[in-house]
Amino acid sequence: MDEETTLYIAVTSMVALFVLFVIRTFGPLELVVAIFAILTILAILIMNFADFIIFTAFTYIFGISIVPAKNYVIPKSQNTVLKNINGLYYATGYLTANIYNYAFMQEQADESEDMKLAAAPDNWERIVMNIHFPFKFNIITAAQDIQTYRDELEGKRGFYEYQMSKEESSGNPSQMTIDDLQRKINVLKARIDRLSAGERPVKSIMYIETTAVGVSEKAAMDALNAQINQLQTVFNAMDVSIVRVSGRELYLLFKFGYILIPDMMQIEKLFHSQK
Amino acid sequence: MAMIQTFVFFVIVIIAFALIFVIQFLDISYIIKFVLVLIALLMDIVAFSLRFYMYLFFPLLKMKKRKVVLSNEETFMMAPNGNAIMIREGSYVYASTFVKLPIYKSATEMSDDEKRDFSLLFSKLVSVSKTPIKITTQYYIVNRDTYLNNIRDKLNEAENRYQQMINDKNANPKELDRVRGEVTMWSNLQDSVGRAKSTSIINYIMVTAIGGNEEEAVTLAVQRGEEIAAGAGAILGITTALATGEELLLLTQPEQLIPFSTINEEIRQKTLEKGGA
Repeated sequence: MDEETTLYIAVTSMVALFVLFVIRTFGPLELVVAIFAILTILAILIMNFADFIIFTAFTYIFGISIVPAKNYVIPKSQNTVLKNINGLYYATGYLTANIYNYAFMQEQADESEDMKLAAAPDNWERIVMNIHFPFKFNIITAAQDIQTYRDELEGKRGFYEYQMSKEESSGNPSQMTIDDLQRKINVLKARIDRLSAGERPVKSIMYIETTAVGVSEKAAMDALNAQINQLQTVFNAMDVSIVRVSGRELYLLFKFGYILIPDMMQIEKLFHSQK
Repeated sequence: MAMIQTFVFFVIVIIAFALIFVIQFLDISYIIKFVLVLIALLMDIVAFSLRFYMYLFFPLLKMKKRKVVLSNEETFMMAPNGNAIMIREGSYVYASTFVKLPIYKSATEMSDDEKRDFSLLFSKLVSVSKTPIKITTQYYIVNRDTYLNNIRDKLNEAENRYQQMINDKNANPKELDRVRGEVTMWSNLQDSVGRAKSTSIINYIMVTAIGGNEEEAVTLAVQRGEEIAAGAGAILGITTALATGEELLLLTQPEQLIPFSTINEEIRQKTLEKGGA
């Protein structure tokens, strides 16, 4: 969670806590007011960690649709962008598809990674051969400064090593804690080795976009749902975790079809919920 | 935008705080106090939601018929040279260029080592720029409008000739057979071409730059696009170029992914199938 979000949570929670502080003012209704104040804090926390659920529920219940540009509509379900051209409807949906997270979760860069790299072109071609409708695989990426990243990793490794030696020298060392710390050190070591081998660290966001067509909004959205289900099945071959994007992030991905924000940190902040 | 967001956030929070504070000293019924505190808590939630939904706040206040209009303009404007697209956001102009990556390799023709090397090259490609870029592989249905229209024209022409010959009592039977065969040929060709979709893949990198005016933004975007094109070309060993004109539409507009002729043909096939059933 970034500093700005922490500030927002702290300030808004203070309002709800202030209500609890003056709860006596509400006499016989104090219990009901207290419940509402606690619900407000809960709503703020849920909105922080999964705002797409609350936002989508809000637009769905009140039947609100969004017009992001001329001829485009994001319907109340908030998971599709519809374009109307001369009575034909083009429905576009988005799926998250982060491959690199999977690679970085490896404890060490071993032979299996080489095998994965060699298998990737085959897997990709198999996917393309099995899909008979339009789709785009997008990677928004930016290279990071190697030295800063390396210093960060080495700092973290030093911290874990210190924690491990402290645990080992304690009177009653826990083997589980030691194993966990050792695993974290191995992950960091593998990443440092990759940097030494010439790889540049990157920050990336990957997503799949697909478009279906129909003679009505419903027909286009039904066709899109079928396509998305097929993509989810087919992309399993790449060990990708796939989630359909809805809510605020759908609008951002729609905009990213035309322009990108020049700061990767800012892009990552915008996508914290469904990464 | 960030300044406005912070300002609106604090204004709403202060109003909510003040409302709760004042409630204590008002000599009003508990029910009214309850309603007022609910309003304050609702304002509190709205204030927090600005963290993510500031772009919706003002359009939501102007909402008509349950439609929140963020923009009523086209998604982008084309640069005068046709090599970039532009979007105006507030006092800034964003311009994007698209670098085409013509990759004609297939895994079926590669050895295991070549496949591994190709994956590594792709890994290098994703770190080609320090500012964000978007690398896309687009799988789309090829536009065969002209091709299908030509076949349709030929078929219509052959059918007209056939009709004229049938009505002509002096028509040569051999010539009549030949024209009938021609009608069948064009009709079969239309069926077979219409039934199968022609698909293609295009790879590209999208690069965006910001400027104070259109000219500045486009110049910067083209400059950055050319830098990325040179980097990507060197990594993959290919000749890269910036997409222009109609190519930009293919990369940005959903209707270009499924051409009208294909939809038309699909509807025709479905109608025929239903008729046959």
